[in-house]
Amino acid sequence: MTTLNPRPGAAAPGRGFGALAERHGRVLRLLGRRLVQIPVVLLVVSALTFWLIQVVPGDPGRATLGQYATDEQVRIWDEQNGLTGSLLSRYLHWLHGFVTGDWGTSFVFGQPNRELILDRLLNSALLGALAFVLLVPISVVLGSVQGYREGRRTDRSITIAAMSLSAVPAFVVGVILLLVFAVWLHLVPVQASALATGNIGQRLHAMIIPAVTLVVYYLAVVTRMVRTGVTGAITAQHHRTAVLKGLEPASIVRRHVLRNALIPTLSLLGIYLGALLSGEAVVEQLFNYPGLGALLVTAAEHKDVVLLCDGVVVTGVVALLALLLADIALIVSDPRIRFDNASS
Amino acid sequence: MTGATHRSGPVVSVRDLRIGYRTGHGTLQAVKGVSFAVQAGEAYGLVGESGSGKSTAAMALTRYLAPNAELSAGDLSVAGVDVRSLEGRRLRHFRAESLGVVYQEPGLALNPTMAVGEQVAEVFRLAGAGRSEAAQRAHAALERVQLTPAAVIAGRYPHELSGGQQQRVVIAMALAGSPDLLILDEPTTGLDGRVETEIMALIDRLRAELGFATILISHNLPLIAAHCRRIGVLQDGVMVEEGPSERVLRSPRHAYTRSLIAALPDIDARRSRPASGADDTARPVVTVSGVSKDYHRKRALRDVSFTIGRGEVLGIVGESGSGKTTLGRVLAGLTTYDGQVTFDQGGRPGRRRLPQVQVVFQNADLSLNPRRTVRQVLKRSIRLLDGDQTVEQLADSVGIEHELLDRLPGQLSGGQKQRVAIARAFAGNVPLVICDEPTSALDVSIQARIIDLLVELQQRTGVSYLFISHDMAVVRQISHRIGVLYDGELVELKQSDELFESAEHPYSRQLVESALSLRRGWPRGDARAEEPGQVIA
Repeated sequence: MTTLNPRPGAAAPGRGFGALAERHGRVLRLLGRRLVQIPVVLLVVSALTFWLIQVVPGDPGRATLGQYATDEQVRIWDEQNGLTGSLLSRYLHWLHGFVTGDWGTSFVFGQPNRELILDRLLNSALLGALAFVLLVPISVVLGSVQGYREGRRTDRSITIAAMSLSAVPAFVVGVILLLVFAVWLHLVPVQASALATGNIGQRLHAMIIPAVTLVVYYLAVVTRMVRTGVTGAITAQHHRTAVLKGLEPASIVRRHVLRNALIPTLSLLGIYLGALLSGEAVVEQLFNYPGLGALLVTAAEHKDVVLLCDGVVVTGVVALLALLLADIALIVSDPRIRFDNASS
Repeated sequence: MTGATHRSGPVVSVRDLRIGYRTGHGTLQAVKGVSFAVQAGEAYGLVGESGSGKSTAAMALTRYLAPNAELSAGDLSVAGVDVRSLEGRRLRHFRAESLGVVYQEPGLALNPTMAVGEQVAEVFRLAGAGRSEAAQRAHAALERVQLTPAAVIAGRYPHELSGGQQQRVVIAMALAGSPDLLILDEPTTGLDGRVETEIMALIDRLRAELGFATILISHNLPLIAAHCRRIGVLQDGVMVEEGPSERVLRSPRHAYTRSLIAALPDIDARRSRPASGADDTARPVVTVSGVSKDYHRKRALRDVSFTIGRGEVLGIVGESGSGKTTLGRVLAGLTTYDGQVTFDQGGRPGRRRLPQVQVVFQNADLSLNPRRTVRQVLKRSIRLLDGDQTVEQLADSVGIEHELLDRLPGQLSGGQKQRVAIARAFAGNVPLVICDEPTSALDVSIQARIIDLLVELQQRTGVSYLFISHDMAVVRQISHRIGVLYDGELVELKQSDELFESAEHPYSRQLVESALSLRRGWPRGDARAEEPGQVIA
């Protein structure tokens, strides 16, 4: 009877990452579409940034050279830094440079933008990855417990705790954590900047409190999403089927509940992953952590258009790749998903 | 029964079963002292309308009840196991080994993110089989329910299968543990007549082969009669009548059973067919010519042409996916299409253009705004359709009591909601009303009343109906002509009686045949005498 198998591997039908090959057609079509979409989005975002930054008050040339420089000197400085000419021609100039690998030099930091951004991106990505790795298991466990205890005291307590924590601004949570763990317990340094570029151990040491602050910030929403998914999955009729098959509770949770419950959460996690990896400005500023978010805030403050646009495009690439990752994860975990046929 | 009776005594023994649900206002008694027994290999049926407690009583055998349920029974045992005392591991073993359940909606009963072969294999894995052995046995199980090639089907996901195929998978899964008892909870409700016949035949054959007992739960009396040896009739949690199905159907003793039988749509007689000037095709209300419709690359309708005369009831039958709902949407202007649909404007000079069509949908729940009272709904409809009645007159005409007018849809029963939906369609003078499965979600007794109402309204107002249904009996009862849609094509369009006597297209013949097979030997006073009661098994 096994000779009926139309292809090898059909006996163990597609699940998990093994299914990626089986659904490679859908993944490929998705990749093809995104390959077109992503540059278009980046183009629009960079143009908007370039245009909007003009609204920010301030004269970077005057600010850099000081009040004693002559108008002529300021004009020459502007010219050197590409701040003269029409908005369109400057944008096209920037675009050409960016695409050909010349990202310009920051007049604020006096360094090539590319090194600056990629260094900071690495720092941010490490911090974001740590936060993400903490966020996912914590919220899945909390959300599942809530789903199974729906309406009971455990459920309500977790909701209240998570919501309260998320409602407090990140800088308050961060300061409290610093007070407790750095000032009173001396477990971590107050300032992250010194350690953040050291070896792995030092980096972890520097990142842990900022990462926890980020987790606290995102926890309530993700937990809520998992809770909703779990509640839906255990009240679904196929859950009854699984129970009446006489399956072990653990296998029901793993194979029948979580698999279905986490599908809606995946898209949300994709968005958050992008935001986390490309740098959370508030938390980075607070802990003086040398990340991309903090860098871009500085760039915006000083009207460093080229640095800002470079950084925004890099941030956009990270965010869009994270979304793409989430979509691929959706295809792997949900056989019903079709991105190329949304209307049916 | 050819089943192997490996045990003496009944497989199922239920005595004085009582189930109540604790609520804020005390305990709501759903099952009030029901007793019955099922022998090995026997086909037993539980029939009743929604709320009769039939599902609750049967599901008590699996001990799968809501957390707020309170159960007590003098005896509740399956295959010699006292179900009442089971907990934890023993309960799981009992569920895995002694019983299988087939559910009402197979599409929802299967895990959407797991290939069906694996869902079947899970049962074998639980029984201790290795991964590859379980997969092989799952293939064998799929072949046994005639899903071939099993290896291909096993790799499919539920949404890639048809309703009938899904239900076969559920059956394969339910039988994978070689149970003594198979509980069938409305297994064919929502499936097409033809698929229903196939599924029930499959279950009958497997029961004969494997010797398990079945409890068939249904509101569908003809179905139960055709496939069960004995039946119990439940009303409000009480078993009002029990006996061999033939006896119960031919000479029901309880008034409730008699009313259930009387409410059935009568496939032979034409007692409620509207007797208006049918086939007034000289001046049709609507002319449909060459209508086609594609959803992406999938064809829904192909070159469909027909007319509906003034005062005519045109029935449209076909299985799901045949395009009948799409046809309704085309006529209602709810979708784009190729071809032509022409309404005869009927000359109403000096008035603003009014809707030519109203629709009564299957699910009144979904078509009524939950935040608007009945009065608000009807008032707006009267205004929109330029009707000249008051809300009260309209309510009277469809049998809605005045005290219901200020309620929200959520406070109404299914039948009352459908009456509101009908009232909405009759709020003004509309020449064509499309009824899309208007009674499919309702109990038989309510279905009969809604059909009577539709007939009465038709006769009073002279409106035309496009009546879409999968239920041949209902369609025959109300329609002057019946059109058969098959894969988007109108394969046959005939006078109702003519279709039943001499259907030409093979698919129409199949439809008529499966509708009639349930009624063969149907014990009605006025039934044709040519088919004595032979099929009742």
